[in-house]
Amino acid sequence: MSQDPNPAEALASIRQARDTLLPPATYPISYDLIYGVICGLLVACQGLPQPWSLLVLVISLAGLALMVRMWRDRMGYWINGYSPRRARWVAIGMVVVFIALMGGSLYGRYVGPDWLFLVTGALGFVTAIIGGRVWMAVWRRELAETGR
Amino acid sequence: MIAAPTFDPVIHAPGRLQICAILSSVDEAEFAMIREAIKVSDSVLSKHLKQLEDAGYIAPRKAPIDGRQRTWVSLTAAGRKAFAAHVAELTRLAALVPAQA
Repeated sequence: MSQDPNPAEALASIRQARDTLLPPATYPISYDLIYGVICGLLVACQGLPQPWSLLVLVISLAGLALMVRMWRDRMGYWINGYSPRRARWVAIGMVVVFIALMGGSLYGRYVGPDWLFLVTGALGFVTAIIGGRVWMAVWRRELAETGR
Repeated sequence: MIAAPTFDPVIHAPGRLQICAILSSVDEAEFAMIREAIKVSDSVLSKHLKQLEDAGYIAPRKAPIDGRQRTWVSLTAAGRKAFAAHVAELTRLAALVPAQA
């Protein structure tokens, strides 16, 4: 590209730079699985008696912090799930589902059935994996567009 | 809100344009990642970042990782606004040029 790029060249260089942010094609499914387990535990632990509820909560949050650090070290950048204009709505939708599932776990803990946390935790696991992939797909589309 | 198209000579230089493109898409990025992405040397990237910092468009911060100091960079609110306005101007100008047959 020239030192004084014309508008089309400049816009192309912006797209090219943004392409470098995309996770590699070999983006490991293990990230999704670990994230799913952490979210599943965060949901399920609400339905456990103390001290297990608090213990699992602390372990889950520590795992989440470790995941963030691994991502930053490996990818060299960080993006909050709520930062991208359109992808943030996927993140907000996921939070709404997680809160509802946590409510389900608490309902099982205080009203019953006792095993309800297993169902809500499993649903949290699935929601995290599907939601994470959908978020990434929406963010990819956002990156592909030049104007923001 | 859509930014009013404004050409910004500080941002328009190829290296700085790509730095801003990366930073506008994330919350923050590490020095080495940006250097690899835009394929420049440490010194060239440092110069670009200094110019953007002097313009108030980026905010660098140092953070230790595995015992080493790493530089992380993010766009300021002014930087995001200026970049959006610059991209809007590029888009406007590109639309004025008829497509090649």
